[in-house]
Amino acid sequence: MTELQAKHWLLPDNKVLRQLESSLKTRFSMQKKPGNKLKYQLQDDYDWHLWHAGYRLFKTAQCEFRLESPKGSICEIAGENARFWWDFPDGEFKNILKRCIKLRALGEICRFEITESTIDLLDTERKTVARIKTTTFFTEDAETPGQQFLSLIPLRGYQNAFNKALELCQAQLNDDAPEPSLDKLLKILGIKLKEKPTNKYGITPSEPCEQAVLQMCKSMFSQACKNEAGVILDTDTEFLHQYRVAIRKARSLINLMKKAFSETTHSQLKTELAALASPTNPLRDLDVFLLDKSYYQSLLPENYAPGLETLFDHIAKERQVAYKRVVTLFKSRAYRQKCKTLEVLFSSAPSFETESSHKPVLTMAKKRTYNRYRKICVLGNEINDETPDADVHELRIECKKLRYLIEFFSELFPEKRISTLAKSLKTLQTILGNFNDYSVQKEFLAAHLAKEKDAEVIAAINGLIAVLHQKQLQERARVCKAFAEFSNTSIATEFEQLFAQ
Amino acid sequence: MRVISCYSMKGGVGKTATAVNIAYWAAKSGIKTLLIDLDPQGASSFYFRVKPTKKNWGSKFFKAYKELVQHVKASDYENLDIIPAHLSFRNFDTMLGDYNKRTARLRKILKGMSKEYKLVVLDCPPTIGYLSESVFTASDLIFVPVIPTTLSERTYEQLNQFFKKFNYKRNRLVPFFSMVQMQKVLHKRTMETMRSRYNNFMDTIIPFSIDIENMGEHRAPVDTYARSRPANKAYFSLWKEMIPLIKKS
Repeated sequence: MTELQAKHWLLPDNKVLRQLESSLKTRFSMQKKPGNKLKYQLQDDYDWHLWHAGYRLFKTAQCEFRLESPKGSICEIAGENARFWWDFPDGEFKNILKRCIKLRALGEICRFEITESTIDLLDTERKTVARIKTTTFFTEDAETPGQQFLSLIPLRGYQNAFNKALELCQAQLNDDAPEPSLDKLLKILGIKLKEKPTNKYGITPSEPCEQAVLQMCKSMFSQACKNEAGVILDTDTEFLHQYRVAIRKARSLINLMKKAFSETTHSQLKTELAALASPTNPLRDLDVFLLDKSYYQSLLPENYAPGLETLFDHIAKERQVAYKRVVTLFKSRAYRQKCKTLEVLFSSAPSFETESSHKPVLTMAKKRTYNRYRKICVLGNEINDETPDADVHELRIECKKLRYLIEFFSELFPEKRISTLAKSLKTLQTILGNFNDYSVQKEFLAAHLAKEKDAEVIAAINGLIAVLHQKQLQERARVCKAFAEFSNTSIATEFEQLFAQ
Repeated sequence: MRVISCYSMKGGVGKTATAVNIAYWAAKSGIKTLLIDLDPQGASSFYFRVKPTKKNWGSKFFKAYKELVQHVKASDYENLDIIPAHLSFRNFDTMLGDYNKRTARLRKILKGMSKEYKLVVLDCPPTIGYLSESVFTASDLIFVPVIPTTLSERTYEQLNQFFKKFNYKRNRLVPFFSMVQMQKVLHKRTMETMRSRYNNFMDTIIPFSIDIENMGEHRAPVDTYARSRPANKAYFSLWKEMIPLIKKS
């Protein structure tokens, strides 16, 4: 059986609707159900992750959240201030949020109002055989004219009635319109879709190296600055994280391509960027610790819970202090001036002071990547289960540099092959990263130990350090195998084919 | 997809009223539901104002899912569709007599519905025969309304014996008291005896109610015209009690 499709029209005014009603009256009994004006908020995170994953999240004035996707909609009730995935009750709704927005907070994209009223078309038994629905969109400021759609909705098994009604509608109304959709409404409201972030910088293979690197740095730096407002508002911890990631990327790029710059320029850029990011270190460290609260709670037995709770209270207070410092910094004149200087540096024309600065960026990118890969092979092959931790850390740092090189210049290479390489590298990096995270967590806790006097808190800290140490040993035992997998011949051939010259 | 049925060998015990109101509440809680009216008298179709197609199609009912799906009609309520009864359904027993593996036939045909529906509710005629045996095989749970009178008690006992004799799973039978008049001593006493004899009776009791009788007049589920009345609350609580049972089945 072919399914009947609803038909939609743009409704010019209510006069047309009244005319249509009187002509429908000749064939059907009608039952009108006027609708209420409902207020909606479209919500998403800063990056529109839900939107890009095909979901639309609506919040009503009664704190009802409705998540719509082509597969259907899920409703959930949550508090007025629900912003993170963990603020919602367990279930599919929460799972989808967790998967899509991760640590991001939900926020309002726009507000609008909808009135939906229906007219049931009835047969002689007073059974509904088709429905007319009018959907009116209003923007919040009443002066903007609302747009009105009329839809004729079929009911399964009542094809003839639908066809009769369709005839009458078509006689009164102009051409069909597409289904009233949110995308259209956003256009009316003047809201621009946020594009999916890409890791493309618009560089070309033959471009001089210095020019390309400056262009990339400029884009990374402006990406960083876009996060400042979110950091100041303290919307979620991702703003600071993304800010730091973007600055770290720019710094790495400059270091990895330092031959494109004179020594003075290189050291100036390097220092300026480092000076920008380092005051935010304490806040980030505290954020990371607080985000892992439930994980830490799971590591210790029940009787440590009160001590751990106190520790988290102390850290949360410390975090507020660190946060205020960052806000003061971001709002300061000195900071703004530093940013301005960097902007100018990245926007200025290349000075071509070194030999490499003229070389095509593709040549340089290949050379750097391949050298880095070979260095990693040498380092990795020397690592066995007894090698000191410092060497493992060095391997991790080199891998991170290689990953950056692959990602930064990915648009110059075949996309699929690059993403396969990046994936195999990522597997190794995860293990090295975990190994390092345990070190960092241990150090963070050890540094905090000096500030604590409460015996329960000290016990909790020591307990955590012991567990983390064990976990680190377990991770360390996985390093050699992971490296062996990464250094296999097929990956080696791929690196050679893509990057050797 | 789960298949539940409302069944009783005895007529006039509230089968159709249960099927209609349960299907309504299931749909209202967001479950895509299909109500199949197997009773040639077509009472549940009547309550939803759905008329059957004119042509005589009962002989095609058990042929294929594709045949069946053509007769699906939307109710006035979201998530609820109906296959209305047809007078030609009265020949089901004779028809099934000619088929091989007749008892598994309904189950097989309904399988196709799982693409669209999460719940199928079967409203059965008050008979025992090939059709009811198909229903027993096809249903994950069989809800049996029982009026607490001596005669009904006897009928329920007969049903249990039938299940035992023909090896149907007796744990699929879920009885509940229907059309109960608490002021009647007989009703009270029968309920007590039956509860002590069968431990699977549902807690919810459907009272004898003018509001349920009025379904014929309103031709709609009780909730739409007697929202705050005890009968409506009883059906809602019956549905609530059914949910975990259906999930577990």
